[in-house]
Amino acid sequence: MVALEAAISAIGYIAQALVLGFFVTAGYLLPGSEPEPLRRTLAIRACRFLIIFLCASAGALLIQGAKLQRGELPSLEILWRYLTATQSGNVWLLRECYAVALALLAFTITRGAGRLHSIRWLALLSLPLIASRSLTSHAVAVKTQTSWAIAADAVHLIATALWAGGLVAVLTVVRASRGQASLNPIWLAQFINRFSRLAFISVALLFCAGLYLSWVHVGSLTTLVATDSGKVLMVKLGLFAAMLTLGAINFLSTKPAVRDMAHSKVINNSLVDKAIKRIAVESMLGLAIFATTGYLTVLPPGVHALHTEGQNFPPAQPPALQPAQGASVKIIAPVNNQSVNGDRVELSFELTKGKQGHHAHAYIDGELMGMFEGNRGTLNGIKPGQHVLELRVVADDHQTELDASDKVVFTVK
Amino acid sequence: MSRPMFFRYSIVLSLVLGLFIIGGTTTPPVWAHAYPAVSVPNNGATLKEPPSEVRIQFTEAIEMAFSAVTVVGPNKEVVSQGKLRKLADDTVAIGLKPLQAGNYTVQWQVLSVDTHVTEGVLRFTIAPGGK
Repeated sequence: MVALEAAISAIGYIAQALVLGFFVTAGYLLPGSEPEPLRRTLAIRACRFLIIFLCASAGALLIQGAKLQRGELPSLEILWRYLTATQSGNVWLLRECYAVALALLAFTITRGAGRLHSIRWLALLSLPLIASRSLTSHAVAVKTQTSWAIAADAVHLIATALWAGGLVAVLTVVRASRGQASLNPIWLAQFINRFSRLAFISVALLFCAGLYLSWVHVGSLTTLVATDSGKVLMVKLGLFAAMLTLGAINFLSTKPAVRDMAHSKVINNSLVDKAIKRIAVESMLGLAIFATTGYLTVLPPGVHALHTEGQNFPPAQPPALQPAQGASVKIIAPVNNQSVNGDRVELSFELTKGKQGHHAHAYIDGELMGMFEGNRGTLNGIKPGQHVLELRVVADDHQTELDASDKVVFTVK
Repeated sequence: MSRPMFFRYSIVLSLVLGLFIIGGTTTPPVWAHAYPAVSVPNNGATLKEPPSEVRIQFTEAIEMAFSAVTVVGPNKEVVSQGKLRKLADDTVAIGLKPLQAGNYTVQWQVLSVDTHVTEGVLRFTIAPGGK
């Protein structure tokens, strides 16, 4: 089931990247006076990839239902409840409705004249489809700076789709140009130049967003090397490095060679063949990256691996406090001797993590009542009377408490 | 894309996906992402007095529609009662019947907001001589 889920997730990622890559190539990268049917051919292929994306999404929904029904084929009642009563189900439903509407629009446009500005609109309308996946990804479960994580994930998805999906479209175009004696090489050089610029910007965005997301989901070098999620991420980074190297070779060698060919005004088929091979290998690496991404989506992020492991251990007595090493916490609210109405106590505090600190544990009268990763939170169900609130800085294993704490006394009325 | 090219793509894609299927079947089936970070009573705690509820804070926000917590007593009887209450996006509580001394098991299953299902067990004990 895990493998099937990873495979369907990967197919979904690949299909949506190809949708965007082909629409953007057809709408924005092909220079004018292209071989007549090429723009329309690319747009039609984008429509086909959209259908594959819809099929993969339907498969993903069935797997989600099976997970909720303990591995059995999900009933309609389970699927309907998932779609209507959960956040991720709502997002799935809206995204699929959007994708169906986009597919109908795309087929209408491509069956007609397939004018340039219409295809450009299709490319722009594909962006929310790609970005919406971030609303059901690991990013949405990040506790602090959630909107930043979702935004970074959306940028990451779009940049990957533009680069890797665009590469396959470029391959299609370059292959189509081979053997066309009437084709002006300047046209081909212009096209490669446009993609090169897009790829450069995409890689820059990909690098920044990827770095931030790795920090959020992996957390430390230890989890990178010690968890399944970290290991798969390393494979992905290795593939990315290989793709980047090949991209650099294409940027520094293939692109200037095509430019020189344009100056000579004669199509050099052996050069085109060489370019095709290089772009094909780079595209394959891109597809492999999507496969690793699909696998990553079914693994718990490295930062949660300690919780998974913790399930297998009997709990121990609280260990002795460890040296603070720069960590500290200061309770801002409630203030000392404050009275609170109702059983909800809003907390606000300043947390300095130091070398080892990660989050704060909240104790009421010596009993652990909550864990807070940001600098505020809420404690619920506090009984009336006077209580002592203590916050302690804790390492990311949730067990190692540091000698860094603060206490206040408050009263619930 | 010409047929030979499409064929080659299909082979490579199948190989990549095949590798992941092999990888997937040799990896422990861990789908999940939401795990208890804090529980009251604490996992493994021995209590002098019986609690009136069990409260669990998870590492991620969870979906109430597909989340359940059941507390089972020493004789396998269900001692939790009422509906699972949402205290915060990541925190739930379930009420308990009056408890006697003995070992109790808290079985939890949740769906996290990033679509993953997790389940597990926590334990606590009420010491003899408690109320």
